Amino acid sequence: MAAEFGQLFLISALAASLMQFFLGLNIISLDQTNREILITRFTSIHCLTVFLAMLCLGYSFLTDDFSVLYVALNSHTNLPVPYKVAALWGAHEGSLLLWILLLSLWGTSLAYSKKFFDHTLVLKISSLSILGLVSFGFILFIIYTSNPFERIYPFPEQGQSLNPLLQDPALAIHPPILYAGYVGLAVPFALALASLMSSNDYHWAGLARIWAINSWLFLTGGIALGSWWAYYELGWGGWWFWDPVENASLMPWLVATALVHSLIVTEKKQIFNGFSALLAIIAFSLSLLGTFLVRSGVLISVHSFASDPERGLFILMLIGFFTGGALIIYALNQKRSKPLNLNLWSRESLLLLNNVFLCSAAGLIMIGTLYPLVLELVNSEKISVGPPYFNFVILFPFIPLMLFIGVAVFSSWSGTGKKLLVNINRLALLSIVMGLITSYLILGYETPTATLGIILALWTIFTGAMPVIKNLGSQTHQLIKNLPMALAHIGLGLTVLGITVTSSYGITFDDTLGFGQSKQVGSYEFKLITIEDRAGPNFKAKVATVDIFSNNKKVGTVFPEKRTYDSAAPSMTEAGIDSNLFRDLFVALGEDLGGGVWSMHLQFKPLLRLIWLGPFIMILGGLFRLFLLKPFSREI
Amino acid sequence: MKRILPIIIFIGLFAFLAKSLFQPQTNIPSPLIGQSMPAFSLGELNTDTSLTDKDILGTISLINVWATWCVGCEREHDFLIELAGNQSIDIPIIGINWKDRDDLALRWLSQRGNPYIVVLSDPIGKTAIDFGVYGAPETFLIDEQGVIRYKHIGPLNRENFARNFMPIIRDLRR
Repeated sequence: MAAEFGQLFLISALAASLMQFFLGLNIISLDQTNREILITRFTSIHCLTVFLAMLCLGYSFLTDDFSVLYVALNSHTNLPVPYKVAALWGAHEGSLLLWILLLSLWGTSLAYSKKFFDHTLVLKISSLSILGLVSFGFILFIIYTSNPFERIYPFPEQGQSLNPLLQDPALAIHPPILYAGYVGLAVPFALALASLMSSNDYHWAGLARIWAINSWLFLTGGIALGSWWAYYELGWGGWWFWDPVENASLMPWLVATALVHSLIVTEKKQIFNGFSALLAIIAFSLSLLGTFLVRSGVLISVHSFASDPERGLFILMLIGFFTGGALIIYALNQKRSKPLNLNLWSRESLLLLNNVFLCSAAGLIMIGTLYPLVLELVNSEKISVGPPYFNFVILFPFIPLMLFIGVAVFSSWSGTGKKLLVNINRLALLSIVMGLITSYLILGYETPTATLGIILALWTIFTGAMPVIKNLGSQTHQLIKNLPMALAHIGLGLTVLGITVTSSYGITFDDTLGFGQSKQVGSYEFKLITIEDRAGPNFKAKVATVDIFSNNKKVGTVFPEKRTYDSAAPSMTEAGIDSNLFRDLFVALGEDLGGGVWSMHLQFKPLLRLIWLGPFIMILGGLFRLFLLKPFSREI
Repeated sequence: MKRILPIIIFIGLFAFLAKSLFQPQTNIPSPLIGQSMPAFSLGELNTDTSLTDKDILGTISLINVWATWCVGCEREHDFLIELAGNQSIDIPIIGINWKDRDDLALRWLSQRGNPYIVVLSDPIGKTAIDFGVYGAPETFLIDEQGVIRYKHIGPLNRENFARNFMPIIRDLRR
């Protein structure tokens, strides 16, 4: 019965979202107060019904109801309970339901926000109405093409279990976090449209910034978590593969970062209103592209798209409707802006410049992601662009971006260049000297890009930290005013430092090792001790014991595993990793070559942890902005 | 111009995605070409016996990944029947029924004819993942030692089979 109830709740949610949409339109005659009360109610009803639908699906999973197709395809009686929960969003249908649940939760958070006043009430009503329409479109999509409550008859005795790749704690929580980020961008999107269609001024910017930062936090966390998961689970020690799924999350992140910064300018200086609105539209559109095109396989390959043309077409229509519609509204309501008299070295123009770099980076990634499809249309050849393209082109926006981040920190609103130069030259010199010392004396010269990367990373860290250091003696609110920015920039600098050093100075070996044999990787020696069998709850594993020595002193022991899951899946690699802040030592088991000899993948990766420490610090910065700065927000 | 530029770019992108959606499938160089086919052990459709990759060695064969929900498979089916009946080419076709239900697959084969010497069932698509399958239909040419010699994505027909498969088959038999 649970599935039927779920279906009912889903249909109720469809109706509630439609009501939410209509209540924002002027065709229903209501005074504003009543309109607001009603639309708030329907937003919460909408959210509640989607939540109940999710609960029904969860119940079907927990009771192993394999007559529900989605459960049969993604669960198994011996699947551990936490993964039964994760299986809720482990495949297409369920992940769409999660998407809508998160959308309605963000909508509810907007509806109950205390940030709205009389003059922005119309913004609230219109944006809730727009969110209702977005939700309506996607609930319709679920019901028509991807219904998780579909039954099968005759139903199987046993389910096919969750993809073993997804049976991992980090990956289990990864989709909700990433989706929360994607979907959160719907709120700035709705606010931007609401503003364009009504007052068309800067009032929306301060509101949109709250949700933009929220989404940005989740996106940052989601991307970092995904990368971390790829590192230890996919088995070959890479942490970023430029594959379409990753690109699809990076593009909205870049644009959301630009959006957060652009909204600061719009809120404080009341300019760039149109640009901020456009960024809000693009950010959400990229989320749509990310969530769905990748989910249904369009970006990976047009072929799997074609294998279910109905789904693909529906998605494309939704994107056409929402993005196309939003851009038309943007075009129609764009005010002829007053000629701006911007000083090149003012904070306004530097932020604008960096937003342009961020968007270019997103654009270049998009080109690389879609390029195989373009080429296929042109000459029917399928080629893959791959990491060399991305690693190369990403430098072009990122080098000037990193350079100007530091400059922008020291600039002032409507400021000029002279004072700026005096303020930054010492830090610039410090970064260059420290960078050169690090790259030539400590690590050893590798490439000019590596040296430049280290210098720019240090520059970003120093300039980020400086405003806080300078205010150490002053009042609390002066001190913490700059803290979110400082943390975000320091985090970025650390990430870039980690990326540069790891990719330039890391060492990788693929080799065979027998029992008792060892292999030198950099200054470390890896020695294979034993390989034993182990049984897990739903898998069997070979576990190796590898001792690692440095200068004949044992520094660690790792236990890489190779798992075979019961459900006849290909075997999975669980890497053995010994890590500290300064380096990762990584061992993955390859194939059993017989006679106690195994192929192995060995890595030494310096400063790898910074790649994930960086985002963590960025997130702290965002959290500070949202929660700590609240009491002072009037002064900032 | 500044206001309508975004919508123009979007229309271009949209048209492009729409065209990609309806683009006929073409060949993707598979990293598996020249490699031994991945090991598998799959149950035969509607029986209790199962087959492994070792069982199909010793002869040049085609592995065809198909499903009843796949539109392209419908289009290539008649050609597969024709190919199976062609004595001069004489190549066995092994079907892998992908992410499908056995009852639907059996009905399909009884209605449209069965070109396969054996049909294996891969309901969750795990073997298909090993084969790097993007979407059905896909066809692999396997030589006597079990090495993948060619991979075709999309429906087979007389023309693309003659152009892409026949030269390799002739070379292998020489």
